[in-house]
This record gives sequence, structure tokens and C-alpha cells, in this order.
Amino acid sequence: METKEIIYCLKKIVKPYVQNDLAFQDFGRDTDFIKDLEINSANLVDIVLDVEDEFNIAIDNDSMDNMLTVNDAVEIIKTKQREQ
Amino acid sequence: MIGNDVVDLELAPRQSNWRRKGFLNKAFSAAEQELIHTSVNPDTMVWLLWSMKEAAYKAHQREHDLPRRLNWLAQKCKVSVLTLETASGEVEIENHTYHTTSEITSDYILTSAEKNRGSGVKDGIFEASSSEVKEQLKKRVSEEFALQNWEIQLEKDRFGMPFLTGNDGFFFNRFSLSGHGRFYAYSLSLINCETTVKHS
Repeated sequence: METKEIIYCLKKIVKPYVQNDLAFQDFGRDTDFIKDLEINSANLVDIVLDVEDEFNIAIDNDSMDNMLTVNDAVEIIKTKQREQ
Repeated sequence: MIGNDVVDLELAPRQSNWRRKGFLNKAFSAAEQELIHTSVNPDTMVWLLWSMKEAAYKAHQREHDLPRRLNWLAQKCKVSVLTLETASGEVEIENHTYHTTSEITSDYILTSAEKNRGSGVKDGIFEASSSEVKEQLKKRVSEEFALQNWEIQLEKDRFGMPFLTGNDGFFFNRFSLSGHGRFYAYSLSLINCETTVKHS
């Protein structure tokens, strides 16, 4: 899957949890889920679960550890898809 | 080092469905899930454990100058005392133990965590919108800690952790701020506070 496509899917996944709409307008690789979008910490669990469902992958705990930005998520998704 | 976390109990169930498939397994150990499932009030137990983990991790982050991590399973909770209105316990993170105390009301759960007990931490909670929080916080801290002549400012470090600065570039490192829904809560201790210049 192309990076662009992944980011497009991530944007849809993240949207319902965003607390800072202004930062969401600039959604891109460098967007930080907590610092920029101010997503509530419990909703980060939802995002991990939504990503697993959408991309049909399993995100292990070590990978989840570092899923702080859109870029982190893209890299994790690509790695997991390659492993399958 | 100290950390705190507040959960707005009116907002939490609207924002998160912890009963969703897979949710508990991402954040809670088998022992913690057992506590949740055997609790007379599972919702309260989920958010109590959650706030313990978050408060302890903030203390851990400050202690070791760490970035944020999504590693709730690495934070192991033990609840030693639980009443209808309070809880206390411990959270272990990578062989470091943080002591937690929680206040439970029908509106919120407020937990503060500290590495060393009895370090003079004062907790405060107030209702404010995000645009009012800085002013309210400054007012409350100035009053409670008799710092009326200080120019208190709220800032964030490179990891997004909030800290307070006072006069002449001093900063209060034993500080934590948490906001959720209607509530903002702070923990602050001036005892053993290294009020040195912070370069972020």
C-alpha cells in the first residue's frame, strides 16, 4: 500500500478522536497524535484497534509503544503488512 | 518525582468504550482485568486503574526525562486500599515503584503519583475551559503556595510535559497538570524542588 493511501486511511480513522480541529487541518506525516491533535490517551487505544481492523494487521506491544505520530503509524503498518 | 491524572466520569464513557473487543488486552494485564471483572463497579475500576497508570507514567517520564510512550502494559497496578471515595496503591514501571493516591467522586477520579511518599505534594482540581486554564492555574498556585509576587507561567518541555516557571527563569519541576472534560487538576510540591533554570 502506498504511503499516501495509508495516510488517507489514517486520517479517517483518527478524525472522530481529534480534540484540536485546527491542527487536524494540517494532518500529515509529522502530525503528533497527542501534542498536535490533543487526542485523549484512552482513545489512542481505540486508534490502535481501528488501525488493526482497517489494515488487517496485529500491532504488538513494542510497536504500539512508539506509535506517537502519523509517520510512526505509517512505518508500523508498512512493516506489519510486509511481514504478512 | 510526581505525576497526576484526572478522568471526567461523565465524559469517559461517552469518549471510550472499554468493553470494545481488544481494548482491555491493549492496556491491562490479566491481574488488572481480573480486578475490573470482579469489581462491583467495573467502570470505576477501569478508570481508576487508567488514572493510576497515567499519573505514574507522568512521574516516571519526569524522573527519567522520557518521551511519551503507549506502554500501559508496562505499568503494573496494585490497589492496596479501596473505599467508595478513595484508593491507594502502587504502580511499577521498569522496576521503579510509584505510590498513588486517588480521590473518587461521582464526577471524577483524581490520582496523584509520587516516587517518594510524604514529599509534600498538594493536589488541586478545578473546572475550567481550555482557554481559562492558564489563568486559573496561576491564580490557584499563587494563592495556595503563597507565591503572590511570582510571575508564574505555564510552559511545555520538548516532550510536551507542562512545567511552571517563576521569576528569573526558575522552574518548578515537581509539578504535574492533567485535564479531561470539565476538569483540570494539578499536583505541586515545593519541598526538595530543584528550582533551577530549565533549558528545553
